[in-house]
Amino acid sequence: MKKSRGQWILSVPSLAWLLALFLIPCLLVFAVSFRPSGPYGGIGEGWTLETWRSLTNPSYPAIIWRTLWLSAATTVLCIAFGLPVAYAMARMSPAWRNRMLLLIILPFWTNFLIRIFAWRTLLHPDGLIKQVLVQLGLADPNAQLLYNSWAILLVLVYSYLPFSILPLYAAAEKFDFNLLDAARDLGASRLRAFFSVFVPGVSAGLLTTFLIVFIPVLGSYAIPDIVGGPSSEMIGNKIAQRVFNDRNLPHASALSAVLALIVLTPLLAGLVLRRWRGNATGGGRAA
Amino acid sequence: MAAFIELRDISKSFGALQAVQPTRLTLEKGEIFSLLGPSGCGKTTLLRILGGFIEPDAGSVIVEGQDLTRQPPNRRPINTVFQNYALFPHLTIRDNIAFGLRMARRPRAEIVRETEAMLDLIQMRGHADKRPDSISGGQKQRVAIARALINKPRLLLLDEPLAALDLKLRQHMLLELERIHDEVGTTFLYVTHDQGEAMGLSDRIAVMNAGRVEQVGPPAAIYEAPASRFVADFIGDTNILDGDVLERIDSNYLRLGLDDFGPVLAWNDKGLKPGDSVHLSIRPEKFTISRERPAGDGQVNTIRGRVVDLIYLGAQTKYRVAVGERHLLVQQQHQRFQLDTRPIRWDEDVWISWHPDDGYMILEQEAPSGEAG
Ligand SMILES: Nc1ncnc2c1ncn2[C@@H]1O[C@H](COP(=O)(O)OP(=O)(O)OP(=O)(O)O)[C@@H](O)[C@H]1O
Ligand SMILES: [Mg+2]
Repeated sequence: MKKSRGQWILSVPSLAWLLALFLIPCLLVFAVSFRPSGPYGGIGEGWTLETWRSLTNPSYPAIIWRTLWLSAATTVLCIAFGLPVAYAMARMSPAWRNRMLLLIILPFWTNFLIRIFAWRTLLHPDGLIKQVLVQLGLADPNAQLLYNSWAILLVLVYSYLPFSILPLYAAAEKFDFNLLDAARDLGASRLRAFFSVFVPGVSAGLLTTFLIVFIPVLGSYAIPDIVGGPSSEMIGNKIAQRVFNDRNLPHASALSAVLALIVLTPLLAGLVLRRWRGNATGGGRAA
Repeated sequence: MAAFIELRDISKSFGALQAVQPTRLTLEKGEIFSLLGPSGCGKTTLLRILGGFIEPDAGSVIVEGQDLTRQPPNRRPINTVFQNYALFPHLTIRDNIAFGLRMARRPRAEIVRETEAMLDLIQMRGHADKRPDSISGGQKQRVAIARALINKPRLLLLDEPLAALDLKLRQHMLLELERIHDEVGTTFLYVTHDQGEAMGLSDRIAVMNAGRVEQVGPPAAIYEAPASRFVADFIGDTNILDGDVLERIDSNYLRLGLDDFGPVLAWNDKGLKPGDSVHLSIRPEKFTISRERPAGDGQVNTIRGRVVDLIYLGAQTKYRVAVGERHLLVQQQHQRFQLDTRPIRWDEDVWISWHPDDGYMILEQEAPSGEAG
């Protein structure tokens, strides 16, 4: 698509903003990872690959792996719970939609950290959830609900669910529900119609959900810090430790760069793939 | 023999609104059957009951002797062409058409073969890889028809399929629909509020009004022998004159006393007796208009009036003729080149006349909704 000169001029302010406040700081962080660390927490003189070499520390692959699967699982669960909610809301009367929206936004009236501490209280060995599960015979009295990856996953899904429902709902609201009738008419069961027509129909919402759940979760550190334990750290915790405890900024920068690469690689791949597919189907959409 | 498709006393209300009054209809195999009626008369509701999207309050839907009333849409051998096409925007034309076969989990080779055959049928092979948002309205229409036909339904439902197209395209698509119907031979149930479409396309028409089927019959019967005042009014233009039977002349004719026009002769197809009150419907083109009183041996009805309006349309002229307080609509076909005759003008006194067989008597009665029997 050829953009007219006018359109380019219109996007100059936002491009300048991104350049000054996003791209340049990112590059600075990236550059810092190639500097030696100063003795008192500063950044030393000269250039070195020492920090990047130290990333081969065997504890890192496990942490990166855990970060990735927790982020992926959170995204999948948020979409799995968010899709039916979005579907149901889009079919409700406007009055009920607004009530539902209010309910979904309601948790934001309480501070994020307070809500996570509330989970810690609930999951605590003397907490409500643990007690109820034990009473129902669903949990062993010695079972540990806190300080592990499952606790982190639970609270991550809890925290990010509204962020998945809202974009999915926005997409579902624009969805033409006649298409579901058409699919049913052509022989699809309710479930098949949902997956073969509704899910592709809200794909824009799915992409947004992926971007605003998966990427922030990759960098999350408060939740694993509060409900996780030493054996369930995520990469965000490591970055925080390097900055606040070790005062080793180059090391923290290198970890941040790794995180950024993890995010960017699939995004760029997706972009390239889309381009390529767009060209392959060529004539179809007027590009 | 049992009917091919049968609606048995179907009814449906939305709250206090009776959208479909108890209705019975039968469709014959391979026919094009139209539901014709003004907006809001319940056509779509009836169609969606057949498709399985609305459950009727009472009655049943029988297809080839099988009761489908409680079957969901995906278990009915009935497919629909939706009013706004409802093509899947994320699929190509080819995949849209193949959708039904995919859902039926047909073998791959069959899907490919049938889909290509459908693309040929609707002459869209060149557009098969496009998406619905990059083809024209008429093309979308054809794709929607192909998509609905690919599972070889017993019945194809079409809900105002041409409503979104412009006049020229509508006429073209009407021919296209007839061609497709001739090739596949599927029974079509065609919903429209356009009488021209219904008359041109259908083998039979059901005229609906306020949730009731007022008349079922072939287009000519609906036009020439309307069963109710509503049908006469809704289909084409007509003049409806109220009156009572004065006397029977013989077994075929009777004399009517029209409230505003005096006595006239009418064909007594209903075996009426003196004293019965009727509406006489006379189509504008059945009248003859002339300056001189037409010579007749008393077998032609004549009325004197004055032209208050006329519209020359080339092939024909439409007149509005005042007779006392009433205005009659008259339409004359120009059979011969008339430049050498002096045309009738505004404010001229004229005679209008018609043959007794050309007036059709309508009784004021509440016929049962749908077909008799
Ligand atoms: N889901 C519904 N809830 C309440 N009323 C409805 C519903 N669907 C239809 N109606 C009403 O039932 C009546 C018949 O509607 P229907 O859609 O069958 O009319 P139609 O003949 O198809 O009209 P049109 O030519 O405008 O499409 C209308 O008065 C409509 O307002
Ligand atoms: Mg309708």
